[in-house]
Amino acid sequence: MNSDPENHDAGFDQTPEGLELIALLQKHAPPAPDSRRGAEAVLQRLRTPQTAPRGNLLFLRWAGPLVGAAAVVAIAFVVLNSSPNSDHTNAPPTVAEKETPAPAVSQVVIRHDRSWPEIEAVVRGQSADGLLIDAGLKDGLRVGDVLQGPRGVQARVSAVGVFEARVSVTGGKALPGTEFRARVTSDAQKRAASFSDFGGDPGAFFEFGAVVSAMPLGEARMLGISDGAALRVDETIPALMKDAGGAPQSSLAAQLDLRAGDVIVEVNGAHVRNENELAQALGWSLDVHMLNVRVFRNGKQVDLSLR
Amino acid sequence: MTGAPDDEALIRQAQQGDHDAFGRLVERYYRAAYASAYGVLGNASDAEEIAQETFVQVFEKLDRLREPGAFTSWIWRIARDTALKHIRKHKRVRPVADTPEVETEDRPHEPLVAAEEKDQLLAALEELPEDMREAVLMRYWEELEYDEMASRTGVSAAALYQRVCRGLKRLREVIERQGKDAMA
Repeated sequence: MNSDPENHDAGFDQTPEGLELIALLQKHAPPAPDSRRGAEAVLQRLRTPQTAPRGNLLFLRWAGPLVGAAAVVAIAFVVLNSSPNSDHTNAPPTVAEKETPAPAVSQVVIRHDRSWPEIEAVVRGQSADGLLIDAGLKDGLRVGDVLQGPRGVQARVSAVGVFEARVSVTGGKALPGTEFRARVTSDAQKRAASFSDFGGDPGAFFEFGAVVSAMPLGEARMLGISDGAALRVDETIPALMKDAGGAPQSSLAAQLDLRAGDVIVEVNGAHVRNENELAQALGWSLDVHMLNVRVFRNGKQVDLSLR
Repeated sequence: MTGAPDDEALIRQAQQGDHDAFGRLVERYYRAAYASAYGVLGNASDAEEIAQETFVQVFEKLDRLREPGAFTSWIWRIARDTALKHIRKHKRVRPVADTPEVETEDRPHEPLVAAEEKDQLLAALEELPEDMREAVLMRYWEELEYDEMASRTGVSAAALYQRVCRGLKRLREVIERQGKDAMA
C-alpha cells in the first residue's frame, strides 16, 4: 500500500492488457442513442399533467414551522399561478401551468439543508386498505410514521415498501396529488433518505429489512476478514407492514435476529464484500425465502438462519 | 467544482421552469444517462426508457441541485439508481442473459460467447467504484475526450485519466477473478 497508485497506474490504457480491455468495452458499447429524439420525448412527458414536478412545491403552509428551524434556508420567492377552484390548493402546479405566463400569486420555495432532510410524499392512488404514497423505505419512511398533509390532514404509515407506502388518513380527505411531509429523525433514516439522491441501491437491503454500509478496512481486517471488505448493519427495520388486524409482520432481518452493529460476511455461503454482492445474494434469497447469514457480533462469529 | 458556464446558465434557467433550457440539457446529457443505464441493464431499449425517466426525475428534483458542477455525476447516479429500480421491479437479478437485445436483432447469429462476454463485462463494471465506472464509461461508451470529461465534471483531465487507468486495471482484476471463480 506504500506505492502511489496515481503514478503506478499511469499509462495502463496503453499496455496490451489495457488495450485489450478497451477493445472489449468498445465491442460491447451500447448503440448511440438519438439524443435529440430522447430530449423531445422527455419534454413531451413533462408536458403531460400527470408528471407534475415535485421539486417546486408550494410550501407556503409549511413555511412557518420550517423557517423557524435553523437547518432550513429559504432562498427564493417565486411568483406563480394557482387554481382558485382546486380542491387542494397546496397541490403542486403542473408543468403546463408553469409554462403559462402567470398572473401574480405568491409562492415560497424553500430549500432544505441536506443535513436535515425531510420526507416528501404525494398520494399516487388508492388500494383496498388505504392510500398509496410515493415514498418508502428508501426515503427513510417506517411503519408507524406520521406524515403531515395540508389543512391538518395526517397520514399514518401502515405498510412500507422500498419505493412506496400505504397510509391511513385522519383529519380530512387526501386526494391523488395531495402532498405529505415528515421530518427525518434518525441517522439511519437520513442515510436512507440520501439514497435516492445519490444513487444507492437500497432495494434489496430494505426489503430484507436492514440499512447497511461499508465497514472501514482496518476494522474489517481486525475481525480476520482478509480482504478487509465487509458490511456493517446500521439499522434493522423490524416491520415492513402491519396486517389487517394491525399486528406488525416481521421483516426477514428481524426474523433472522440481525442486529445493528452486526458485520455481515456471508450470505448463503457466499462472501459478500460490498453492497452490490449483498444485493445479488439477497435478491436470490428473498425469492426462495431460504437464508443463511454469517455475521460477526461483538467480535464473535454468529450464524443466523431462516427457512 | 463548477460545470461549464453554459451548463450552469441552463441549469439555473431550468430551475426556474424553462423547458427549452432543460431540453438542451437533456440533449447534452442524454447519452450519459443512457450509458449509465445500459451499464446496469445491458439492453438498449430499456436503457432509452430509463434515460428518459431519469430526466423526468431530474426535472422534478432540479431545485435540490445546489452545485451545478455535480450535475453530470448526478445524472449518472440517478440513471443507475433508476435502472436498478427497474430491475427490481421486473426481476430481482439483472436480466441481461434472458432479455432480447435490440442489437442482436440485427445480428441474429451473434455467438453465445459474445453474450456471455458482455454479461461478464457488465458484472465486472458493477464492481467498480462509482467514480471509476463513470470515468471509464464516459470515456469509452460516451466517447468523450478527457478535456470534455473535465469540463463536465470539474475534475482535472489528468485526474480523470488516472481514474480511467485505475478503473481499467480494476476491471481487469475483477474479470480475471470472475474467470477463476467460474473455473472453480
